[in-house]
Amino acid sequence: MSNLQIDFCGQQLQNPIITASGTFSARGSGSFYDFSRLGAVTSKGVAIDPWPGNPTPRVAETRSGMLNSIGLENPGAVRFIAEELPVIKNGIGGSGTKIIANLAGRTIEQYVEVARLLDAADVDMLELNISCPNVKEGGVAFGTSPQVAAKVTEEVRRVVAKPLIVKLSPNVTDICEIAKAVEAAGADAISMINTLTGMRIDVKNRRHILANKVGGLSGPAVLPVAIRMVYQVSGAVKIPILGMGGVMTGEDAAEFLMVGASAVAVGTAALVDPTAPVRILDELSDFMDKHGFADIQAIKEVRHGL
Amino acid sequence: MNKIVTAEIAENSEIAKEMFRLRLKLPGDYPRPKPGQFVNLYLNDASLLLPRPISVCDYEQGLLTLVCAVVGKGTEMISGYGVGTKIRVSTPLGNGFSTGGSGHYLLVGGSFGVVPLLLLAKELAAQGRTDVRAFLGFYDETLIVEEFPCVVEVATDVGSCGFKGNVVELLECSEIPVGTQILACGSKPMLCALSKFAAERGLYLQVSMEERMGCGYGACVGCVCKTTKGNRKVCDDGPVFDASEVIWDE
Ligand SMILES: Cc1cc2nc3c(=O)[nH]c(=O)nc-3n(C[C@H](O)[C@H](O)[C@H](O)COP(=O)(O)OP(=O)(O)OC[C@H]3O[C@@H](n4cnc5c(N)ncnc54)[C@H](O)[C@@H]3O)c2cc1C
Ligand SMILES: Cc1cc2nc3c(=O)[nH]c(=O)nc-3n(C[C@H](O)[C@H](O)[C@H](O)COP(=O)(O)O)c2cc1C
Ligand code: FES
Repeated sequence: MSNLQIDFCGQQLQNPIITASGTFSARGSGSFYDFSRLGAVTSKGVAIDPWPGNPTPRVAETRSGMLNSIGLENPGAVRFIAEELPVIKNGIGGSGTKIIANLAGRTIEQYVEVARLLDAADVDMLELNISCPNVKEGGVAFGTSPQVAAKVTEEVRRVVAKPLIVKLSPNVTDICEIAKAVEAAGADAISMINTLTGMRIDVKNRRHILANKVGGLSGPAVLPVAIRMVYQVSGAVKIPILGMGGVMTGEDAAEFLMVGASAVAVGTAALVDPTAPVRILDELSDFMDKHGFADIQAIKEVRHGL
Repeated sequence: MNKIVTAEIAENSEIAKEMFRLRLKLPGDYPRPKPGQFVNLYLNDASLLLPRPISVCDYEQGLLTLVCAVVGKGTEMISGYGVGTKIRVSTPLGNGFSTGGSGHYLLVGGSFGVVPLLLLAKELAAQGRTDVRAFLGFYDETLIVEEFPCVVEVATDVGSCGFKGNVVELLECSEIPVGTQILACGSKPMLCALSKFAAERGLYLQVSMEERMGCGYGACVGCVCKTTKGNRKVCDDGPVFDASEVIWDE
């Protein structure tokens, strides 16, 4: 049996498989599988105050992918800490699965405030979402300019003690530039990629499928884009990368590790198969046994030859 | 624990225009669905990622009956699956209708919203209740009305069968005893009209709502319904809601 343990931002994870933000709920996902087997789970984006999200329809299917325009609906940090967090804790039990709180904001002040609250809460790491394509006022606007990305990272860094992961948008000209800027501003890790902006039309009814018109593309269709970007960014920064985008199988997870990711998140796959995160974990373990990888570091070493 | 199981298609027949009855043979440990719950059907085409939520129509001894309208790529594909085809299906999801209160029961369905009412009617009949009526509305062709084990009134928009008009108009000219509980499923405009009707007469109404879904089990927050208690997930907090809590703005 190969060893799947990893060190991520100084924390010991029992394996590198993590749920991607927005595709996990302790109650729903927990009704299908035991998430205490995972390296970590990531919350849906949490903001300082409750956000109502966008009007429905919020999801649209597309060949080998999907669009979503949820718009970061969330109950706000106070209710997240009081209501969702205890359910996550309870599901994790004594397993050592880490909790990553994904943070949303409309202004730098809001990011700072929510980060401060979550830093003091019972979570292990913070993931700063500066890349949501579905919220006009904020999110992606922070993730598309190196200066603004650095500024928000720096301000949040100042108030938090926990490991800070910054989540990058693929909807940029040069992702390496943004990655370097947030690294210099004090990020402990980078997670990537968030969704790619897209649109679908219902041709029979001549209207947008999504009420928000645009949404974020995710799922297997985006995997090659994510692989290319993780490969580029891992050559440009020293901090670890949490890779994601279209992971459907254990081999997909191995592919992310080979291009320089230190851990891998599973998002849309869990909508296609509710037990995907643990299935992918088992497949990754089998893949390592079959191909003679003793540990995750051994897979990561493939990067040097690529 | 919820599960995705592999079922075998035991029947797939066109029972009305573009409407298919699907009978799925399930593994022995499949939980008994409650009326108003739905299942996620996963297509045998890996490029169509999302599950199709379909209401439970009937259930007997390991045989799940669904009625599926062909409206797009996925349902078109399902309509073509032959007997013996294997298909992945979730265990029953959502909350279902709550029964058990006193008073007459009135089941109100519009178009393929009649589907989940069949198991409900059968369950109420099995509880020995005789004060159950079903008001079922269609555009033209009716669907599964003969199978209801209770008094049925039919309305059709074109007047081809029963009352000419929609099902809420039929209710308006019918005698509804005080204290009747209404359990309904149908399009949003129909449920909205019904909600006004029930509110005016002080009748308790449960409605089964429909919304586009991502996951179908509460993970993605794709399927919300606006209520007086804030947004609720149709797949997890619903699909059945207390109509007095639903905000019918759109
Ligand atoms: C709780 C619930 C119960 C349902 N019960 C039934 C039933 O018993 N019988 C029946 O025929 N239909 C039912 N539907 C509607 C059914 O899910 C859709 O008609 C079906 O998903 C359409 O799939 P498609 O691939 O043919 O359409 P496409 O338009 O090709 O599908 C593209 C995407 O949109 C989604 N979608 C499209 N139309 C709808 C819709 N009206 N509602 C929800 N999602 C939609 C699909 O699931 C898919 O993800 C129910 C829906 C819900 C939410
Ligand atoms: C329904 C849905 C909701 C999402 N919500 C969030 C969110 O709240 N915060 C965030 O940082 N990313 C969010 N994402 C992006 C995912 O975390 C992930 O970055 C992206 O979907 C790519 O991975 P995948 O192809 O495995 O889904 C969401 C994605 C989906 C599909
Ligand atoms: S469809 Fe995902 S939460 Fe309801």
